[in-house]
Amino acid sequence: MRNPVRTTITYVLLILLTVLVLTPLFWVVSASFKPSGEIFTYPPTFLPQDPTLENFTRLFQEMPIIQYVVNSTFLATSHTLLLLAIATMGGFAFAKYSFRGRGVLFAIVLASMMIPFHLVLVPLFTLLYQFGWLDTYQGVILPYLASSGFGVFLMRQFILGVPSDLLDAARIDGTSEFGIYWRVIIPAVKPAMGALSIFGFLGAWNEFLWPMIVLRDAAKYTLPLGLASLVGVYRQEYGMLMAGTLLSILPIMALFLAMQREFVQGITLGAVKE
Amino acid sequence: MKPRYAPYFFLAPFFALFGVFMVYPLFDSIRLSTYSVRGMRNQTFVGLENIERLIADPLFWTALWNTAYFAAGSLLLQLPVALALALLLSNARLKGRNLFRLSFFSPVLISGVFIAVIFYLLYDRRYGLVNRVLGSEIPWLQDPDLVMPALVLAGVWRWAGFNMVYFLAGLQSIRQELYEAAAVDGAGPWQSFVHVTIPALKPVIAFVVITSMIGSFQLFDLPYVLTEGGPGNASMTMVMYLYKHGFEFINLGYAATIGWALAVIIGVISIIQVRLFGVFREN
Amino acid sequence: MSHLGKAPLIFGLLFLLAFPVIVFRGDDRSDTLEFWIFAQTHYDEFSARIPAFEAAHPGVKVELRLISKLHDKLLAAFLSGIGGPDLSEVEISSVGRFFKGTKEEIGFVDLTDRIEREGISDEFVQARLAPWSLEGRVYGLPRDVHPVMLLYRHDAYEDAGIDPKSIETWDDFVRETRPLARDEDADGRPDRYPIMLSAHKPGHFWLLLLQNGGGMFDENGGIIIDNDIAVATLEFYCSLLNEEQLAIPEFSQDPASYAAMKEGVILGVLAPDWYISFARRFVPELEGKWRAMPLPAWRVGERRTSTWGGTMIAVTKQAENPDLAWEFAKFAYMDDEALANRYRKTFIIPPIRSAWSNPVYTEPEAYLDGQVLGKSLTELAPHIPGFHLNPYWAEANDLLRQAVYEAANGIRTPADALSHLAEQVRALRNNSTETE
Repeated sequence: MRNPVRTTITYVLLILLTVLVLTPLFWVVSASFKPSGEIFTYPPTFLPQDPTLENFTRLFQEMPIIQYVVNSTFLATSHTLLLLAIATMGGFAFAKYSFRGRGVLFAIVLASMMIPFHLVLVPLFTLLYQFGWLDTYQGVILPYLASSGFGVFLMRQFILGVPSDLLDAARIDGTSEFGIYWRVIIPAVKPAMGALSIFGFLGAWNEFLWPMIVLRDAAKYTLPLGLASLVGVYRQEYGMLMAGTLLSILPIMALFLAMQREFVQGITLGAVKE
Repeated sequence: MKPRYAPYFFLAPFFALFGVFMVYPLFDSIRLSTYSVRGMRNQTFVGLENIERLIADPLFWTALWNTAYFAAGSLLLQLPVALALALLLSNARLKGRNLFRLSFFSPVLISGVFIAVIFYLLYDRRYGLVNRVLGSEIPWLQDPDLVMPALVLAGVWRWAGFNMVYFLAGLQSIRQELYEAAAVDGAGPWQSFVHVTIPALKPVIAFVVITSMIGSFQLFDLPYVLTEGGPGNASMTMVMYLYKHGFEFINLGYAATIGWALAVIIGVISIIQVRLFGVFREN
Repeated sequence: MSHLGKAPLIFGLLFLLAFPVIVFRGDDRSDTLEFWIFAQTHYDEFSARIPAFEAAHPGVKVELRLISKLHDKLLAAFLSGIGGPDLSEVEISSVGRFFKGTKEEIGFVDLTDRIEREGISDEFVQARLAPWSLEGRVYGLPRDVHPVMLLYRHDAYEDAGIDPKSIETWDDFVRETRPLARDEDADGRPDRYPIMLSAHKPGHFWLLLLQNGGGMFDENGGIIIDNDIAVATLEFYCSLLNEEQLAIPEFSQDPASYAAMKEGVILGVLAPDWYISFARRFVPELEGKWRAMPLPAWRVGERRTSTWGGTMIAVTKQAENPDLAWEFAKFAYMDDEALANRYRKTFIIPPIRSAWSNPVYTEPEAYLDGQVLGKSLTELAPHIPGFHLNPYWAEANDLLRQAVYEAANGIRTPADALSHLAEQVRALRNNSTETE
């Protein structure tokens, strides 16, 4: 930053852009504290004229919101943990073993990243019906994991960087292959797992279409599904929905702040390193 | 467990899931696309009739056009914005860098349904913030010429920060000597951007372009909540059309046909892009 | 475990917290009647009534569930043969989707014989059984009549010296209310509109078409959406929105429309009974300023109402005890006191003639400046138009949306939009008869 003019321009631009990006979020926060009549007033108000907690109290009284949070947490954490297991194992195999069919199988993983999940929406639905898995959590989680090729790819990129000497040393000590995975590879790729888990958790926590198709019983709904019912043909509770949106972002925000560094590292390896 | 079998053991979970929940449904959707399906039990073989119907279906072409419009809009608008954000943030001595980065990234943390509702409020003809700031009463979501641009803008807001992180990572991996060498050769900021930054970023650009394109072609939640495909069908996308036939009209065969059309289009575009950028060539 | 890093630990811990709640949540529904509904107002009504039913039937538990996307899920449950409720409400615009295929494939229990055996058929407004019937068999009990009136700003009419009684036909409406559409800030657009009509959804047009004696299908399944009545109705509809500038296009979201009413931008609305209660709830500021009049007729002396929306209750074939479910259906839909309560909360009048003698329907309504709304509604109720259900209704309705939008926004002429629509519906029908 040797050039003061350039520095100033950079900051001005950054601040302007930040305002632009944060305004819709500010709108959420503001609307969630507005009484129901004030969201639609002309001219629109930036700050609530008559701030109230009504949207939040009604959200807890009229909706099983805690239940939605528990459901979402269960779904997203199971997805994340399984994703970590599948991806680290798969990535380990591709990065550190040479075996017959490796090229073909890795090509399949890469190609799977390009298959749109929606293509199999209909046949998957009929498959779940045959399994008797409609309206179950395994019906939501397992098919979604089948499109985790990106995770395998990402972990391979990381594990390539683990020195092979470590593995050989462990083998000489008589460690089993699984032992190597568990005691050598896993500790070496801790940050990578942080990155992948954010990807996985974010995706599963926010996913809408697939759980909407699979789940029927409202008691099993996730946060996006449950909250989406606040606005529709028969109900327009925008204030409550904004309050709910705020509540659903907060946990994600906290997790992201805790793992920001790993996440950026993960992104770097996913895209930058060939 | 012998080391010889170890890799297969480690790969088993992924490929088992992939086989059951991806490969089998893929083949099943080929089969379904040749059937007229009413309900799950009542299936009649119709051969290529669904494809004929698709080609003659004006709504399918509308959906394809809208989807392509969104994808092109995302590419032309969102990626330059993402790159610009990354360039602004690339200086390591910038104060408040983490805070800016988090701000730009924050839309990614929100579920698409909520984003749709937020923009529903922002775009309102009379009571929305956008018209308030512009001092207008533009029916953003009810005018067939404006609804897709409005969706593209919402898409830019949602994803630019995400792609910014990729670009940022790419920028940080460019060696400083390259810039110094360019400066010695008398290159200004613009020239060093064109001749050093862009070529060095090529793999990242390729990655971002391809993933954004695949994502854009699967656009569903924004228009589904925001416009229900309207006004008329001016924001009907391919996945919405698939959903409509599959889960509202229960035309499972036709829905599978739409799905394959989508897959073929994404496949062709991805291959063209891979060729253009020459990525994965080393592998 | 520390060698795993913080990600698996954090997510593992959260998982362990959520897991027991999910696993040990009771899922016992042995002696329960599961009942699906789609609207919050219905939820409030039934949850207050259920204890009485449970008290009268010891050991029975009614599980009321408010389901979003109810119709998609109910259809999926029927198709897959599992996961459906014992009873469900179904909304009128979605009901066609449930009547595709053969009689055996219909997911609802045929109630015709029960209705006849108990001699309750004549009590219902017959036009309201039709939407839930196919080929002479009845699959649901109607919840409502939903006669439509014109909700108008009485104060604005008085200021402008308009006598509501002078508005007998839609032509009268155009002539008399024109002075209301004023452009006070001279920006070329009126600031006040005598009526609000949707330029994107088919609801308003559809009810006016029914009032005018039109429809989508005739009683033989013939397509009549492009006949002269339909074209004339749509031309008039579009002229109100465009040439005459008497109608403001409906807002994309209802709260925006309510806010515009509050501001005095909208001076009239096509309002079925339920909508008037929405106005009372969401625009309380206008208490005493609104009144409701019968719809202007298309021609002097003709029908002065229409119908918009509707719900049925049906027993599904997945019900373990259809007799008990039927008992509950009658209890939920035919109890006099419950119906009176419903009117107080929602203005919805029942489709059962004998119930109209309840004094609740002669109470003056403060929101409408003391007008006896119940009397007006029950007087109009027998005159509502009927309509004929058809297996292609869902798709046809979707295409109707497109046609109204195209005509109202000048993309096609009304005649062109409707003939295009009719063509597509015919193709749809030919398509599915070929492949069967």
